[in-house]
Amino acid sequence: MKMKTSSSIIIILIIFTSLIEVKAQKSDLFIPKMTAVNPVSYTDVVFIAKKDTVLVSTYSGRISKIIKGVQKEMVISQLGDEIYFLSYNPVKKHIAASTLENGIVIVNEKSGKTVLKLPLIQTWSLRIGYSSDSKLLFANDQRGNKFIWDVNTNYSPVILPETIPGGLIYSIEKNIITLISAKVITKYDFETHTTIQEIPISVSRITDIDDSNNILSVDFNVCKLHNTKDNKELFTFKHPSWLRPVESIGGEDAARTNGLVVKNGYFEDPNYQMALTSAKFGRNKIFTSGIDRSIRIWDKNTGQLLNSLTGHKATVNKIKVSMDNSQLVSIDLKGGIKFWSIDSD
Amino acid sequence: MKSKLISIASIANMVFFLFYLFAFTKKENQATINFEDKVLKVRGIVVVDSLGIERVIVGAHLPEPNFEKGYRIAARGKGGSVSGVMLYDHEGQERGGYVTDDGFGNAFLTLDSKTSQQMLLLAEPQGSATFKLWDRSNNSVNLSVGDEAVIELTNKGKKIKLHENENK
Repeated sequence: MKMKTSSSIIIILIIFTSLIEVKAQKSDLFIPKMTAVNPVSYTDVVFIAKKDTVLVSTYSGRISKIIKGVQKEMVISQLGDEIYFLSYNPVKKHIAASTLENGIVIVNEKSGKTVLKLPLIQTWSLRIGYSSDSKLLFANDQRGNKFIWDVNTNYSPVILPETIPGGLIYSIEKNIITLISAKVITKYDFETHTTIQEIPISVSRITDIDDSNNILSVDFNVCKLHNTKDNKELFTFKHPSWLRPVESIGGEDAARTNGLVVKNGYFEDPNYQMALTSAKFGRNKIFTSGIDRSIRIWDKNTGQLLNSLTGHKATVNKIKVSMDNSQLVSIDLKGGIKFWSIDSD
Repeated sequence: MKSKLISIASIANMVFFLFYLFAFTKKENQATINFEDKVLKVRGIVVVDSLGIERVIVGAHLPEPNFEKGYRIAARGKGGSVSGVMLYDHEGQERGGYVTDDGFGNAFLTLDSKTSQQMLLLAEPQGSATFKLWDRSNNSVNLSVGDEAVIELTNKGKKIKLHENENK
């Protein structure tokens, strides 16, 4: 009887282990769906401190904390869904992540647990953000719909008034919503339901707005600085060349033999002015990044190129300036991240 | 006697178990399976590089493209409406495909830069066809046949006038 029992247990164990094995083998071979994603790429970066500490996201659904000088990422959450944008709520310590399949996912920064999901039916958001006082969360979906949730009532939806102007929500400062449409930037008072300012614009693809309502826009390889006060274009920039590493043509000696000027291991190829991915305001500077894997620093007042930052090994897809304007962080499509000290004057 | 039998049975089971486990985990066994007379029926095949970046997808339907800024837009409608072969570069960006679409029933071959489509070879279901090349400076070459044969060249946005019926 005893023998029978022990043999039965062993046989059950064998079958159980085999099933696990077969399941493991199956999951090695098959994937749930075709995604066309680059799992090493970072998709967004946000500062969560004055400087030196950021959150990053990936197509593979990872949210991690990265501290300058610390090699290893600290994984906060693995959502199992593509993440495109992040926003951080410093009061609640919440991370809002815009995802492909699950709408906007709110994650607790400390525990890494999902607090709740705000569904966007059959669409996803390419711009989300918390209001400056951290009380509201906003999003625009791909169909042009606008959403606002009240953070303090467990992200209950805020019914938007019918009088709200057209355009996408760019930011919410206190009770003022900034909306951008094709021809106008509108400042709308959320409490009194009135439009308080309309600024006509003649540019699209806006990437940043400064405190004086100057606008940066990017169209392919051209960045424009636009003064909204006079509705006037002040400067246009292009990355003047492709800064290529000397290894791409056989090293420094080969580059010099070909008559190329080498600086910091790079030579300039003036035949390429490649597409830009981002443009951001610093205090007195403008920063642009591009698929040429570089970041350029421009004088905001004169439009002059001041410096070129190299070192990324893939398209620099996002750049962000720290709250104190002393640091720039950049991410690329091969999982590279760099912190740059920038003159805050 | 009983305990001896239990021991023998246990050892036999253990040997059987290890053999069974080994048979499933040994990689060579998978590699040497002969599929010569098998037909593979799948929804998709994904080829990845050493970093895990998807470089070629054969699939029905193909996923939406990702863009250089790090996001996906609904370029083809959510869920995808084209099927075929798609190529992706070392950063995971869509760079061309050889596909058919569900909407119009077109068959086409495309090649893309990192920011937009630059070449299109298209066959429409009713029998017309187009070959088109273009860049961002409004230069383009368009060859098409349908009700009539058309050759159009555009240089910096201006149509270049071509001589018609040269043989007459």
